[in-house]
Amino acid sequence: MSPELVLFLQTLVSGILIGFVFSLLSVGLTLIFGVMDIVNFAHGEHLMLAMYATFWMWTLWGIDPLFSLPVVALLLFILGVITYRLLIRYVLDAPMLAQIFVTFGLMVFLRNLAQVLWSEDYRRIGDTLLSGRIELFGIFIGRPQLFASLGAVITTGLLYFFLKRTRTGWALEATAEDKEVAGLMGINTERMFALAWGLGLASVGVAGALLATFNPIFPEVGTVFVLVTFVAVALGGFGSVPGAFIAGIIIGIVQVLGGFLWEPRFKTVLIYAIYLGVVFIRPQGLLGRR
Amino acid sequence: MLRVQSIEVRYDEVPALHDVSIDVREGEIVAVIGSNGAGKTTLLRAISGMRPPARGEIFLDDTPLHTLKTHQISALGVAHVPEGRGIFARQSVLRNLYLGAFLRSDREREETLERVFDLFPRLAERRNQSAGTLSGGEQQMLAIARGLMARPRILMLDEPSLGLMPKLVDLIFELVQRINQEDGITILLVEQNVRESLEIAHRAYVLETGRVVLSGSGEDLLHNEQVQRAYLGM
Ligand SMILES: Nc1ncnc2c1ncn2[C@@H]1O[C@H](COP(=O)(O)OP(=O)(O)OP(=O)(O)O)[C@@H](O)[C@H]1O
Ligand SMILES: [Mg+2]
Repeated sequence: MSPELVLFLQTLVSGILIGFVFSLLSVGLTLIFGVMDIVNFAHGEHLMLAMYATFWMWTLWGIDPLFSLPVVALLLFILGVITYRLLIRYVLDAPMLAQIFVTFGLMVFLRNLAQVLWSEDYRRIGDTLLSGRIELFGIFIGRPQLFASLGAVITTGLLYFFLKRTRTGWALEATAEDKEVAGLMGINTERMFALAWGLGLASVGVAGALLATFNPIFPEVGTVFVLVTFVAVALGGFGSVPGAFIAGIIIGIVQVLGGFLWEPRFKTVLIYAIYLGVVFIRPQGLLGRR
Repeated sequence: MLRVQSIEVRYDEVPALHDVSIDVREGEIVAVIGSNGAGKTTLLRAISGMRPPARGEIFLDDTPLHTLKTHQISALGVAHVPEGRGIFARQSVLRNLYLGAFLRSDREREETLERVFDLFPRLAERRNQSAGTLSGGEQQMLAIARGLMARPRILMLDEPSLGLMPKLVDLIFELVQRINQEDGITILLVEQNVRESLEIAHRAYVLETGRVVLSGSGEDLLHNEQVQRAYLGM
């Protein structure tokens, strides 16, 4: 293979790998939106918290991210439920602006909290059980990246299975479609809302633990990922889990290929371009309704 | 069995029901008739907890319903088939039916499903179709069938014949009667199809601008001069 081709394939593979992580992040966001029509603007900050949680468990107690991952997921699940119970519940029937304010305020609060507690320093997790890389047909793949995309695919798959194959999953989908009628079926919709927040943040928890193994961790790290997440949710169709999954992969590929074929600093521009394209050509997104 | 006692229901401080009382006894079909905006839908919404009354009380046997949430009221055996059907359009027919039986065990669900498919053979044929693609009549049948899947003690139907062609209207009324007689399910029926409703109802209430203005047996109301003039065009 020519060196250019190798480099191209190398780039493509890394785009697909990170795309799966974008997918998981987007699925978490779209799940909450789908069930209760509320956009969690603090999504990136929840990711930041998950990354810090992974970092501190590794630094303080030497727990490898591989093992802290389920703990982080559980912590974020609980945080999601608490956020719903203490905050979101009170703005369910409030005007949209009030809802935006609440999660936006949460974003600012969490970011500031992180700055105060953990300073602006960039932190990194050193060698973990996942460190190193493997070679496949002349292409190098980082093991953390490979594991991250694998973990993301598995988590998304489990979530999808839960939604489609379990009674509670059906109840969640019914609540997403019509919460009043879902109540008439005997479904406790408040509990479903709490569950949506729990699952949404647990997804972010998994993504955060996976990303922490090969990304710097700092209070604003959420902004690095949240843009692609929002664009993926819009591209996939607000509230559509399969849509968010596909869109995450597409954006992962576009981002790295754009940087490869054009110029690295334009990759954000490209993502915005996708977003504008969605807004103008297909506002409901790939798999969205309406 | 179901007792609604002097309830007042408001939307933004404006009362839509004033001092409404109705009674439904075990095994009956009770009709509530009235023109547009009379408050029929509001009455059913108050009973099922979607719009709790500002005043008054609602009891199922001796259990107060007016303090409970919708899902709790549903769990006590009150099924509400809402106006406009409220089916889950994105889900399959079968999934809609399963959601109706959300609080039932798998075994109970399968048993009830058999009976429901017996009453509504069209739904059996279309069980895997997405509910949003059903015809209006089929959607109405699905809504009623889904209500039955809960094995309710009382089934509340909000204008089940709305927007259907005459032949289907007859079929719906026939099915409502069968459900009452063969399955022993008590029925609270809200309708604007006054003649058909009074013909199958044991008792009925006439609602006008949020108040009960008349009540009696279906038979009596059919022959009531006021009803005939206002609702039967005689
Ligand atoms: N969500 C609402 N907000 C404000 N007012 C409402 C609302 N729903 C109903 N109303 C008002 O309450 C009154 C009773 O309405 P309701 O829907 O119960 O009547 P209805 O008898 O079911 O009429 P229809 O036969 O047209 O369905 C009407 O004056 C209506 O405008
Ligand atoms: Mg009505």
